[in-house]
Amino acid sequence: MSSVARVYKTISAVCALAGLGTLSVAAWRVSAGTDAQLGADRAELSFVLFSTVALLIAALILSVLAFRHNSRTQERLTGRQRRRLDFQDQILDVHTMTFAWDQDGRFTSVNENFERCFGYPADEIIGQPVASIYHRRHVDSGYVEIARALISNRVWSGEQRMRNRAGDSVYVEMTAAPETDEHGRFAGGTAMMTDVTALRDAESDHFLNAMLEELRDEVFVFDTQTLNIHYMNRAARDRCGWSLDEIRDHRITDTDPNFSEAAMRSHTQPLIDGTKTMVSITVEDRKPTEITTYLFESANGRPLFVAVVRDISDRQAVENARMQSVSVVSHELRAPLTSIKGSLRLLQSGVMGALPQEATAVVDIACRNSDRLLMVVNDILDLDKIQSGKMDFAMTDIDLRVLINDAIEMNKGYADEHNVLLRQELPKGVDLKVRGNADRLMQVMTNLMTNAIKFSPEEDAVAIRVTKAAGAWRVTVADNGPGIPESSRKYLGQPFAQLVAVDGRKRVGTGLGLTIVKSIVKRHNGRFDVNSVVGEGSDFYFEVPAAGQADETRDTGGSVIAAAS
Amino acid sequence: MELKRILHVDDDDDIRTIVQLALEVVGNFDLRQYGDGPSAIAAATDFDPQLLLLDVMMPGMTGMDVRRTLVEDHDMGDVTTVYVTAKAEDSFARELMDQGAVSVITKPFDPMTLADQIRDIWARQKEAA
Repeated sequence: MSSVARVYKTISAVCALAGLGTLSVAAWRVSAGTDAQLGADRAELSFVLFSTVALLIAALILSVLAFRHNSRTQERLTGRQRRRLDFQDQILDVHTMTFAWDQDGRFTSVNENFERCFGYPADEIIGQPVASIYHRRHVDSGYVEIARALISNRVWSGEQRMRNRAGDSVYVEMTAAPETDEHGRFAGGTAMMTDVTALRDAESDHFLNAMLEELRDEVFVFDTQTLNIHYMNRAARDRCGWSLDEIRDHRITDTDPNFSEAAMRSHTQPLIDGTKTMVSITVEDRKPTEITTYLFESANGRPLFVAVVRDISDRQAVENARMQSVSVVSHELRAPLTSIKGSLRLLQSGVMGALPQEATAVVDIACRNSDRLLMVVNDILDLDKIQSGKMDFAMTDIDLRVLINDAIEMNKGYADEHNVLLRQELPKGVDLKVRGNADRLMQVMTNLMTNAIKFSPEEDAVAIRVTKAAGAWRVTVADNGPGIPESSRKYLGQPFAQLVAVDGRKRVGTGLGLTIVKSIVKRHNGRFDVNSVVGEGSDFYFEVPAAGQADETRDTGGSVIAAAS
Repeated sequence: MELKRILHVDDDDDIRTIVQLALEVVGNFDLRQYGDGPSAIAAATDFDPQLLLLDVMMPGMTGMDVRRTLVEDHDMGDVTTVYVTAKAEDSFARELMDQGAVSVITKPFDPMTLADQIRDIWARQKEAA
C-alpha cells in the first residue's frame, strides 16, 4: 500500500471514531481505490471533506455565540439579585433593629435602630453579653431559650421583653437565626427585631380605660384653670345624662346645681401650692359622698385635676351601726355593773351588817375586779369617742401648774395605796400656759401617773417635770421602775398591748391607757414618747403647744409612737 | 326634820333595789320607786315629790317623756330633775341638761355616795337660786 493510501486509511479511521460516517467511507474508498478511480474519488473526497469542515466550523461558531449569550444573561441575572438583596438589607436596616452575637453570647454588631431603641452606642454594647438587655428575671425565658434553639440549628421567632439602658421595658417581635463557621459549627446568631412597646402600652391604656369606664365611682378629669372637663367615666356621664361627645362642652361646675366654684378652688388650693398630694371632702347634699381630688400632669405637661366621687352611704350605714353597737354595749354593760358594784359596795360598807373576815376578803376581790371591768368599758368608750371625733376637744388656755396640782391631788389616794410619793418639779417664775382641753389633758396625766405609780418600787417617788420644748411645754412623768426593753417599745400605745416589765410582773390595767394618751396628744397636735433605761426607770412625756402656738404646724417626726399613728 | 321626797323611775329591778338601799337606808330619804313611766305619773300627784330621779333609757316612756308629762300635765316644772344614764357622752349629758335636768348621774354610781351626791345637787341649786 502506498503512503498516500495509508494516510487516507488513517483519515477514514479517525473520521469513523469521530462519527463522521460519510467522510470515513469517502476516505476508505480513496485508500482502497485503483489509480483509475483515484481522480474521481479524490474530487468527491475533497467535496465531502470541505463540506464537513465547513459544517464543523459553523457549529463551532454557533456554539461559541450561544455560550457567550448565555454567560451574559447569567451575569445580568446575578447582578439584579445581588442588588435586590442589598436593597432588602438596606430596608431591613432602616425598618428594624438588627444585631449579631458570637458563640459566647456577646454582641458583635448592632444597627442604628438598635442603638436608638436601647440607648446604647454600638461601641459600648459590642462585646457585652446579650443577656444584659434583659431584666434579670426574664433572662431564662428569653435569651437562654433563643440560644438553645439556635445551637440546635433552628430559627427562633416570637415576642421578647427586654430592657433599655434606663431599665425601662422594651417589648420586641424578634426572629433569630443561627450562624455557622466554614466547618458548619455554631458560631453565633443574627436577629431582627421590631419594637412593639407602643402597641403593648396602647393595649395597657385600653385596659385601664376599660376599667375606669366600669368603675362604680364617678371619675372626672378637668383643667385646673378653666375647669373644662376632659374626661368623665360612664358612672359620671350616666348621672349627668351626657354622652362621651358632650362632656367637653361642659365645666366641672355644671355637674351639680349646688356646685360652688369658690369652695372648690379653696379646697383644691393645697394641691396647686404643692402642700398636699390629695384632698378629700365629704358632701351630704344628695346622698353622702366622698370626693377625693388629685393633681396630675397630662402628657403635654398641662396640670389636670382628677376627682373621684364615691357614694359612702354603705360605709356610713356601717359606721352608724358600729356606733350604735358601741352605745348598746356601753349601756348593756354599765347597767348590770351598777347592780354588781352597788351590791358589793353596800356589802363592803357594812350597811347590810358586818361580814365575816373571809367574806370581806372575797368581797374586796369582787369589788376590785368589777372596778377593773368598768375601767375597760370606760376606756373602750373613750377610745371610740376620740377616734370617731365624738369626744369633746374644746381648746382653751390651760395653766399647767393648776393641771398638775389637780392631777396630783386626784391620784394621791392611788399613790398612797402603793406607798409611792408624787413630786412635782416645775420651773419657777415662768408662765406655763398651754393650749388644750383641760379634761382630756387631765386624763393624760392620770393615765401616765397611775402607770408610773404601778411600776414604781414601794417608798419611791414619781416625779412630774415640766421643761421647755420648741413652741411647746413638755410634761414628763418619771418613775424608777424596771424600765421598758427596746424591743417592747414598738408596742407602746397599741391597743391592749400590756407589757410585761423586765421584772416579769404584770400590772393591773386595761391595756388601753397609753393608746388613749397617744390619741389625745395627737388631737392636741402634740407629741408623745418615752425614754427608758432597763433597771433605771422610764420617762413618759408629752408635749403640747404653748398658748398662742397652737396654730403653728409643729414637726412631730422622730417620735416612735407618733410615727406609728 | 321632814324627809325629802324622791320619786325614782327605773325599769331595772336590781338597780331599784340598790337605789332603795342607797337612798333609804344610807341616805334616809322618803323614796317611792316605779318600774315604768305611766305608773310613776299616776302616783306622782299624790306623792308630791321634791326630786325626780329618772332613768333615761326605758322601754315605752323614756325618762325625758316622764318629766315632760309631769311638767305639762301635773304642773311639776319646779321639781328638781336628775337623770341617771349609762350613756357617758358629754354631748348627751348636755342634751339632758338642756331638757330641764339640774344634774346627770352616770351608771354605775357608788351607792355609798349617791345620797351625798343628791344633797350636793340640792345645795348647789339652792345657792344658784
